[in-house]
Amino acid sequence: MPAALQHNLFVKGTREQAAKQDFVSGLRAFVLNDMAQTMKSHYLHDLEPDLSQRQATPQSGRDVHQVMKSDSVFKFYSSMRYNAQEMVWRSVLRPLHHGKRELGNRIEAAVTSGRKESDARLELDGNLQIPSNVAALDVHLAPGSYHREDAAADWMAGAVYDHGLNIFSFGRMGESLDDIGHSMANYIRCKFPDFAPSTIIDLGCTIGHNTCAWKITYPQAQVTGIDVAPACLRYGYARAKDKGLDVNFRQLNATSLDYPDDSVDIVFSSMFLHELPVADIRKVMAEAHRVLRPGGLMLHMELPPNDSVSPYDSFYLDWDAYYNNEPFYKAFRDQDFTGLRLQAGFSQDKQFEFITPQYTYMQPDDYAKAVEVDVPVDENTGRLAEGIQWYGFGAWK
Amino acid sequence: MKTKTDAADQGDIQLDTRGRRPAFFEAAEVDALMTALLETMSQLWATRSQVRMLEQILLDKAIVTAEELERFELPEAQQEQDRQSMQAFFKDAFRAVGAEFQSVDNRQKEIDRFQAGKAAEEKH
Repeated sequence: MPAALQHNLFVKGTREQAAKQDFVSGLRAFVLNDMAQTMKSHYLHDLEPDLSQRQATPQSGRDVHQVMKSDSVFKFYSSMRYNAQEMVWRSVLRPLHHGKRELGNRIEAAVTSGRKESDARLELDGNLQIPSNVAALDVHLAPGSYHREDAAADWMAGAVYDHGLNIFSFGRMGESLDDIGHSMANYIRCKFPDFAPSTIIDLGCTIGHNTCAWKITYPQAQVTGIDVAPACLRYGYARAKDKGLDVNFRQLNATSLDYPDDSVDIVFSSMFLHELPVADIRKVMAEAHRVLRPGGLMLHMELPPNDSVSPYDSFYLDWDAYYNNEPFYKAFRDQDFTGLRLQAGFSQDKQFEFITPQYTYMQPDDYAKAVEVDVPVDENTGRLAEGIQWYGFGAWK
Repeated sequence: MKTKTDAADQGDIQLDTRGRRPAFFEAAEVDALMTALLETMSQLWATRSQVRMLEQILLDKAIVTAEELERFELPEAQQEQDRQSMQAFFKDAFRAVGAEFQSVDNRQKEIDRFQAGKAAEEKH
């Protein structure tokens, strides 16, 4: 069975529902490990040599995609992965709706308990327009997308995201789905031990699972998760409270932050930029530069850019753009990441990129030693499978 | 405690994703069959898991013998509930039949056009 989420908002469902979730998780692990290796091996040993002989070796991910679309292994891989993605959501929607009343009580209890001694706030803006990249399609094939609200003060979209991600990640994203946040925050802590941020904002935080990791790493800092989706923010606020963490949540569009100039120490995001049109990514980075204090840090966790990986790996990592309702993914990964940062005002000598192993799967001392050595992007970078390593890029102001 | 099968618990929950499904195979029928196959496998796994557990409990507690398990039949009301669950199960498994599909070429062109449109917006 998938491991239980490590908080009191976890809904277990019936034994049958849990068994189906177990199946979906296992199916995704099989597709993304075994079938993905089979497909790559098939391409490298069967298809590419033949193309090379005909002097038609694919030069880009797009070229590889063109070849693979008519290949049987790709068809089965894609069909199974697409169906597994649908089944992720279907497997959690039923138990969550069935247990809605009880979960609502637990959310209320999490929010009210510790209210007196906590300064953490939830700020929603009923006038905020949900951007079309969230509202116009069901992102990640999630029915209703992330902004969905079926009732006043609805939190269900957040619960669906939390429980769905638990099935989706088949145990590769940490017990609280926060491994990305911990890996990024601890990379900064280990590499820059004198840096002591007091204000941290996490853009596109959804339910704040990675936001919480920053609060744990830098407990003295004021940490705030920002998103456009109110149901995710309501749930994320309760989730953080349940874990005893004072994290603020605010409904804001990251393209237009209301923070004063030079007021923030870290502007962070994880798996967020690729959901935005490139024009909006530029706005987000420009806003990050504006609100950061001199000496502050902009840091983004993403899949590596297409110019840093092989044509095959580029094709492989672009799958989500075409088949997982993330249409901006490829356009983002096709960008020159250095150029994006330069345009936003970050000088080239203050920019950096890095690969980090998974913090929550290691002993802290082993992690600190591991990040002393810089490693290049490889086929495991960002690929959700055994041996995954995360990619980050950023810049100091 | 009354147990409720998953499929019977569907109610009015929105389970389907908006938009057209990609057709990975030449015939959309194959895509639909893949959906049915995976749903069936999922139900098979869940059922196998439950049956294995229940049988073991019954045998361990000496509540029934292996022979009695073979001969047992459900009351009519529960059989009717099972029939309804089966219909809901069919709806799950065959949800892709008749859905709107698009070829992967067409899907790629659509997204490329979408991205080109956004690129044009940026230039202005």
